[in-house]
Amino acid sequence: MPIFEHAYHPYDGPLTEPRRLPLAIARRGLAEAFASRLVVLLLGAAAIATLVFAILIYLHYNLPALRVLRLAVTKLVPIDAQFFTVFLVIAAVLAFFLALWLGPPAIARDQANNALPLYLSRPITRPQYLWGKMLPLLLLLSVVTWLPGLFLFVLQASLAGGQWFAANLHIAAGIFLGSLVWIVLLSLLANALSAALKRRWPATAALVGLFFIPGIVGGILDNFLTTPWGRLLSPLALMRIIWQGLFRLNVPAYGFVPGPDGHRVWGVLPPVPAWSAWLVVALLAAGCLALLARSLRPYPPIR
Amino acid sequence: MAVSLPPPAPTAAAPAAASPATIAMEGLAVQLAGRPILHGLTCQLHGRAIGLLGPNGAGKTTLIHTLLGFYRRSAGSAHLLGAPIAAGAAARAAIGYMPERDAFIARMTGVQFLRLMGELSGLPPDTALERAHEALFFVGLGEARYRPLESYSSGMKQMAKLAQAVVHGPRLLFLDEPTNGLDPTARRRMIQLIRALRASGETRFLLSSHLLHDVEECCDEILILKDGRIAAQCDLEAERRTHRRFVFLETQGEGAPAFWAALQQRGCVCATAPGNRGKIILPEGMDAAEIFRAAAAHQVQLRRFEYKRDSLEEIFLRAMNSPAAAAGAA
Repeated sequence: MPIFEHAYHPYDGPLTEPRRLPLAIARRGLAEAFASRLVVLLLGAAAIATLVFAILIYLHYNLPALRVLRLAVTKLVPIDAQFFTVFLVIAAVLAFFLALWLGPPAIARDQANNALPLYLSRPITRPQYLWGKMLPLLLLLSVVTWLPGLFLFVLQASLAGGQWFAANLHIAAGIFLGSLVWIVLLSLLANALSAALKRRWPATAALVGLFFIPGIVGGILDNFLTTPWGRLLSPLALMRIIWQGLFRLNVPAYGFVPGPDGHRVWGVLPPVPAWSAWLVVALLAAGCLALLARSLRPYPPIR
Repeated sequence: MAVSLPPPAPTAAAPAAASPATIAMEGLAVQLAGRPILHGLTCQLHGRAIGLLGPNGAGKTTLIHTLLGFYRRSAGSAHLLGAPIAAGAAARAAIGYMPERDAFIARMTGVQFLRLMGELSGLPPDTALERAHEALFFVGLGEARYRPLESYSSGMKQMAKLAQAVVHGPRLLFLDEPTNGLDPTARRRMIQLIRALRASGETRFLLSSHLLHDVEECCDEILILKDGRIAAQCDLEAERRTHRRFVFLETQGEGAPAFWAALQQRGCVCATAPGNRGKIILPEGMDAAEIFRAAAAHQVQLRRFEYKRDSLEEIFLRAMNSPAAAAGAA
């Protein structure tokens, strides 16, 4: 219909499949993300980090380059599980800042402008709406975490040969699963706080607080009660425990432990089993989903 | 991959009996926070333009939200254009909703907003963009379509809300207080648009309002709620047709008795009152012009000629004071 007719016309054409509808929300979310300079900056930083790590891997197998740089292979950082863990930590920090910037406004803006009735009066369900909101964040966080991580692993495997690949396959699994847990947890927390608090900046502050304040409380508990379990309150410590398990690393954690004379001394804390960290992460995720189920309503529940 | 739309609603010319009811409810009950809000509503609404009336707190918005699936039913069932509301999200492709409160998506221009709303209703992206432009021109926001929604005035936001409700060409529209907060000019424009929707014959709508005049201007059937119960259901068109048979007359002249007698001879039921006033009921097939001819023949002046006009306000007040409504309130 020509727009100058200014008349109402029904629509009888084909309709998009319902399961593809959240992609419209995700497309909009991605467009908004790329309009932000900070997002482009963080993605650029992730690309530079990947490049630096790729060069470090490449140098191990390029003797002419080492000769030019007057370096010995033994002086280079070894390419092992620790190497990939360091990359993952850098990627995780960048992912955290991305989630901090993009997550809190995602649902909060819709809540603040009463947009949920507009979405949910259409053939789209609440889980689909949430999926559409989370998808851009999950995609961007994947771009800075497991995608470059696996690229580095493949680069190393292609240069080191099949034997290294077979012996270190757990590293690839660690990169993928470790990143996946981190980005899913970040996305769920950011969106749950966004939906519950309905304002961007309170949700951002709450997300920062959630990652650091329980860690401090857990540290105090550990030190006063000389227990290792306080660490489970900190999402950052949880991820460290999970990653160490996935990468088969054994890096001890330090704190006050009971000394031989009964006084507390600084020492290695007893390890916390990895399953307990997985359990706490699962509970956190379940809590986020419960909060989302309660908050994502077209109209607030009447009490 | 694409799925096809449900069969189109019949046109105005099609007999109402052959088409499913626009809205059908059978014992529909809703409880919120343990408090009953809607009490077993049962009715069939076949009108193209249905007015939903009731005092504040009668349950109008709750009914709309329940029909849209926002609130869970505690009992009963409801069908929209023959499809059960329990059918899920897919059934909402044929429905448009204009909420009462300000509602928009931040950081978008009018076109971007409507395009997203169209896509979420199932339109392919290109079609959604095309129809976004059309819908904005339809509501009179053509010139403002590239402006951010945040910069729209209240009236413009209200029009944008209407545009998002019609962008996907729904078969059934829910309009919740569409004239709320509009100045007289914008209100007039909104009413014109709603009347244009009705005149198009392509969509049906449920208009919820506490402004009786708005409903009277736009609707042909009304449902009046009071305290969560149906206080009255009325076919305004049928009422109007019936009222055209009732005429109030005031005469002057010597020939008045003969004039009344002549009308009775023609089949009219007449009731005269002191002061040369009277009421008549015209028989089927009798034209009002015959009254004037009879008056001329008996040299009687007609000082007053008025069809009985039972205004919506009267219907509403009657419904509010009816024994059924009173029982509901009790």
